[in-house]
Amino acid sequence: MPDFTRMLRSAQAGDAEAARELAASLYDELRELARREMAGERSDHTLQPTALVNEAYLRLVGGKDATFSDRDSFFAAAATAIRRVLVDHARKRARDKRGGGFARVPLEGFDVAEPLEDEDLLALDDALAALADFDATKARIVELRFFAGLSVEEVGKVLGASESTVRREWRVARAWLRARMDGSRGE
Amino acid sequence: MESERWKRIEALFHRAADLAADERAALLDRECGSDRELRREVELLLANDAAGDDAFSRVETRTRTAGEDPMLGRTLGVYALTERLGAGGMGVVYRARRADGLFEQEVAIKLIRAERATEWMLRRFEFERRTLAALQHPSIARLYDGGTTDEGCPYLVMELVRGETIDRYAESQRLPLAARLRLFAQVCRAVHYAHQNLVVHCDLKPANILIDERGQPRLLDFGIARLLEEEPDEATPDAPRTLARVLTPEYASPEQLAGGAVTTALDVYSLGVVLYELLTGRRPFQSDSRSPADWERLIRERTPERPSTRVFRADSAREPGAIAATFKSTPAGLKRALRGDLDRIVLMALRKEPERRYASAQELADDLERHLAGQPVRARADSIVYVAWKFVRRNRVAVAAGVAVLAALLYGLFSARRSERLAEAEAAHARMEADSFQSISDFLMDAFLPAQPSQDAAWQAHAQKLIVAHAERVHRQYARNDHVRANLLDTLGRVCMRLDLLDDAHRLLGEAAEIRERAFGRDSLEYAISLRGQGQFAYQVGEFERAVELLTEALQVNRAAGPNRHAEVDSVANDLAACLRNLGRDDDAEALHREALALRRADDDGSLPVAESLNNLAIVHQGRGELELAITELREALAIRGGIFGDAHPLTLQTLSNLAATLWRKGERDEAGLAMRRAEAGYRALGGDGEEGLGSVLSSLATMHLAVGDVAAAAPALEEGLALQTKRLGPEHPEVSRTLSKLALLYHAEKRDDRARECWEEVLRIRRGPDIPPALLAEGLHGYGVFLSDVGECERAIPSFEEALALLRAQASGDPLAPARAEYVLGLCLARVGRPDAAREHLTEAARLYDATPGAPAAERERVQRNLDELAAPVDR
Repeated sequence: MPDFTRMLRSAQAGDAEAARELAASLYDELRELARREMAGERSDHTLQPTALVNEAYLRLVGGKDATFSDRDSFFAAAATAIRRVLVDHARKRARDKRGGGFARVPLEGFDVAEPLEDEDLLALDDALAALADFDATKARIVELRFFAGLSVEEVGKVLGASESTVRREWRVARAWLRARMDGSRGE
Repeated sequence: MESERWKRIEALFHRAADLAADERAALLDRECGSDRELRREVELLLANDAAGDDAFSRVETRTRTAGEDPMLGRTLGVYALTERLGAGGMGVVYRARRADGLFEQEVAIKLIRAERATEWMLRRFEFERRTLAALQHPSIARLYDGGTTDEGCPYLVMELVRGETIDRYAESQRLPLAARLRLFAQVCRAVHYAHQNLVVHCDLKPANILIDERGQPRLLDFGIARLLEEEPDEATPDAPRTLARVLTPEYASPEQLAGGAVTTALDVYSLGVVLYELLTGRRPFQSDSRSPADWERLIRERTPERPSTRVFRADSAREPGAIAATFKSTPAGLKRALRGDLDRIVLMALRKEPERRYASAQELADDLERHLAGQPVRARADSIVYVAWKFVRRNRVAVAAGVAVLAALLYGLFSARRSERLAEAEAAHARMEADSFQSISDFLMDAFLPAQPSQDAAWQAHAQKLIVAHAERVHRQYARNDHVRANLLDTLGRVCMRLDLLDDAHRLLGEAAEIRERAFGRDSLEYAISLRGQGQFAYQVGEFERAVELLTEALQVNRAAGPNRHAEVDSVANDLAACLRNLGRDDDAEALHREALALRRADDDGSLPVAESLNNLAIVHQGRGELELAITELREALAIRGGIFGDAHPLTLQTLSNLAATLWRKGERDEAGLAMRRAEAGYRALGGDGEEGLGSVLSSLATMHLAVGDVAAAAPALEEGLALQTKRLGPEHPEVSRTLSKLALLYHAEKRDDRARECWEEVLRIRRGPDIPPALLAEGLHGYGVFLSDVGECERAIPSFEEALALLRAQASGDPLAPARAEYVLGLCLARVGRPDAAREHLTEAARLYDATPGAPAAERERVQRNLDELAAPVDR
């Protein structure tokens, strides 16, 4: 297994190569975790991004010598990776569905966090890409919030911004995405 | 997007976001100026500031709830939280590991969501925790410990049970019926043990009943629902305690949903639901709603279908064969095994009244074991008298409550009610009379289908799928019984008609007609039923001539059948009369309505059919101007419908608004206004199903206000009416344009001419659309012209009048004076812009038209003359 703590620290120190390596490894790790999750007892065949990221963190970094800033960097890096894992997964399922033979078991009751709908997720992914074109910071905030499950405070730390700034940006991003995703559904 | 522009949009968004609507508008007016695009962008963001049911908000709730979990990794007492297992209505459950290293132990920790954990709650929690900790039963998961986090949230440390939920276990193990019953009896005994220790579960459901690796049931979360109870009312500290909220409406008893006292009977009911699900693969009631109030209504008004018929029925998701396979059985075998004892046992556990259920979970277990041992069970079916009484009462409730949740109603038709009907059909098809079947299905449709078809395309698609699937099954299952097959297809066809599924309705009605014609002949009453159904269909799609043909034939067959068939003669006569009236044959319509009314009065003078005939007769009379007569009839119809349904029912409101309109026409303005207001209140009480009616009533009310010069009262009524109409009918509907034109007049009267102009432009835009009668466009052009000339824009008014006149000349309008009035206003405008010759020409034509129209108001004719005289006067005057 790659040494994540080392990669994290190098990436934190500004090592671009380490950052790329970290992202690639994370993608592989998360995909592997997701695959296991899917093969397990969960019958809904959906993935909870933050649960995956949390588990990955505990497995990969959460040792005794991990620092708080390790945790922040890890989640920041994992946000993009998990987004890719989920989107790839949703795309694949969309293909499977078109191919037929995929029966979805509806989830009953609400004792389990509700699953992400593929369609919603793919729409979000598109909209985030569009947002990133002209306002990368906001897209990043959303990614961190959604895919790494970071709180506003944590996002602020990762991006080096104040909580109130993050809150303001988040509000605009949310409204813009809602408008955009709503519109794209009608097309 | 350019970054400067985006910054501008953002900044404006922030400035506007927390302002009140009027301040916000003012700010945007100021800041955006003529940059409409900027304003649009900002408004779009503002409109999307709040969460709704949109894709983004869904993703948001589904990721962040599970995401921002600061608890993972924390330590509570001696336990470190390692994993989040799930979240529910009352909190989050974690897997936790003992962190003090004393010994290896994994537990489940339930962190109670308590936004406002009061002192009382915490004391209460402590007390309950001790009670629960005392529960020691091999089938009940132990409660080890509990405490409070630093933030003051209570948590419970419980035995971590590894296993599958009972429903999944039964399915994955393909447990045969008897094994399921034995397993479930164990569950009942565990529940009974808790009850003896004064602990009621309050949230029994498969998710709380796990089967461990040894195949033993383990019940989770005993009594935990009660930890959420609220502080007792100080005024009545001794009142029985009730549940603050229902965690899982799907499994909750009616009294629990209604917020009744906590008793062991509510667990017995929930056990009944779980048992039902174990035996049929489905729950007794289905609804997408999660509101306890919706569920309560649904459960109160409906009887669960017998498990033995339920397993035989295809659902959208599951085929009977697939379900039976999980029992290692076949649908027929399963049905046989469930019929009788097990049907009765399950339905007894599911009775609405707690006192009529099993007195304890133990008794339920005993009965299941008696059944397994082949001994007679204690559960008894409801007696026929009881069923009949319930049926009447239930339907009175349904009627009084107005139209209940749409989906629930449709489901009602296709599950519980339908099973009774199929059972009847199976048992008695040989001797079942055509008309009795018909009246039952009519009654059921009235009781269960909404007055207006759904606007929701997805719902309709779902309904259609269900109906088509049922039709296929009817064909298969009753291939050899023409009578039953035709009846069922006919009923399905009429359901489709009610739901606006016209293609399917046409096909199903046609299939039924074909069967009946072939099997019973063209003179049979069976065939007449089909004729009537097809006639009603033709009427609904506007083919009145065809409808008259079909219904006339149906009436003949019915008349020929003799005096004992009156019930059908009156209904067919009523339908036929409605068609005739639409063709303008009022005399024939009146005669038939009178015939139907006489037959119906002879049957029962105060009945709903009598009210229907009176209402319809009144419409004929009102159309002819016989207002006095119409009012008398409407009053009687209203007394009947209002007496039976109350005000908040579409039929009562139909008669009420007819009465209001007729009174108004007769000049009884005060009473008309009162009646219209009553109708308004009624439609409001109906909620979503009353929107269309409310829209037209508001429009009428606005007319009334305007007529008495009360402009201030008219505006809000019209604006609300317009919004409702646009929503129900779409923005292109002619009715919307009518309301808009009234609104335009009103804004003009209030000197809000910009708004008035916008309204008129919108009116014309709609009326220039396809399929709009030219007379209506002419009316709009006339109104717009009058407005323009009023605000001094005669030059622009002239083309509008000219176009209106051209249309009126090409095709007569409903109003014989319309051309005369148009000539007059055009003449006036021409005079004002200094074209006296042209003006004189049109005024002269107006005078001629007035003279040629009998009964034209003298005042209007004089007005024309005055203007002609002025034009003739010397120019230098």
